[in-house]
Amino acid sequence: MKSQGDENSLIETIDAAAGLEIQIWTSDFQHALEGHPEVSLERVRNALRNPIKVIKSKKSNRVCLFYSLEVQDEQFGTIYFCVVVGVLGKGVGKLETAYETTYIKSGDVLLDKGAKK
Amino acid sequence: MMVKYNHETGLMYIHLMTGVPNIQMRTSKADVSKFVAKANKEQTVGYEIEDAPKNIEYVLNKLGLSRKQKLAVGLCFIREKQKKTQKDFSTIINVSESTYKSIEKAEHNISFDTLDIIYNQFPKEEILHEIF
Repeated sequence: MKSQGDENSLIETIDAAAGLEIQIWTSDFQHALEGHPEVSLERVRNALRNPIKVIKSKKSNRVCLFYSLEVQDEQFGTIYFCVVVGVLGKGVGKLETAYETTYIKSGDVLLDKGAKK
Repeated sequence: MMVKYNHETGLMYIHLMTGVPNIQMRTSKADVSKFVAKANKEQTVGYEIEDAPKNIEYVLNKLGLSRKQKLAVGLCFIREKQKKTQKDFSTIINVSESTYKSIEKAEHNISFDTLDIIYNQFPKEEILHEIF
């Protein structure tokens, strides 16, 4: 593992869809896990490699959102799993956080495999 | 409470509680979404704020945060904006690193002396006037 300091290490780098290489650091993954206990490394890997939609945020050109389709839920409707990626530059990004969501945000579509809005 | 802010992306995450399975839903404010408990969608457990610098006033005044929580958000916001570590800020406001971390988790009752130091160290940070 590469080390960025005493408290932060690189867990792994994933060749993601849309031509991005995404780094997963312990501090960011730990934050995702504490805030969203439904997050797992496997779900993050899957969403990054096989997203149904990748969006470049309208609010920040340094943020990409990778969505994978999860389940239909009686209470919440369609549930997506979203991985939020901060773009570092030169095709490299890093996981910011990940969570389940009821909707896909609007923005520039970088990849679309036909997700419902 | 857990706060995460990245000044490069403008994204802020506020988790009022941790360890509760949750899901993101829209709010009436376009840049602010909420995380609700899966077991009870009326229970908000956190927020995602896009373009936080533009929306920080809304965050501090409209999300129903306590003073301690507002201070946690405010200090995290200022610290990340200045690209400083929690250890750096603990030195600046003259508290131990563990105390500083507790302040950013809204778990610490801050003394008047420390409040004075914060005001004196960051006199140009208008966000502090939204907190107190």
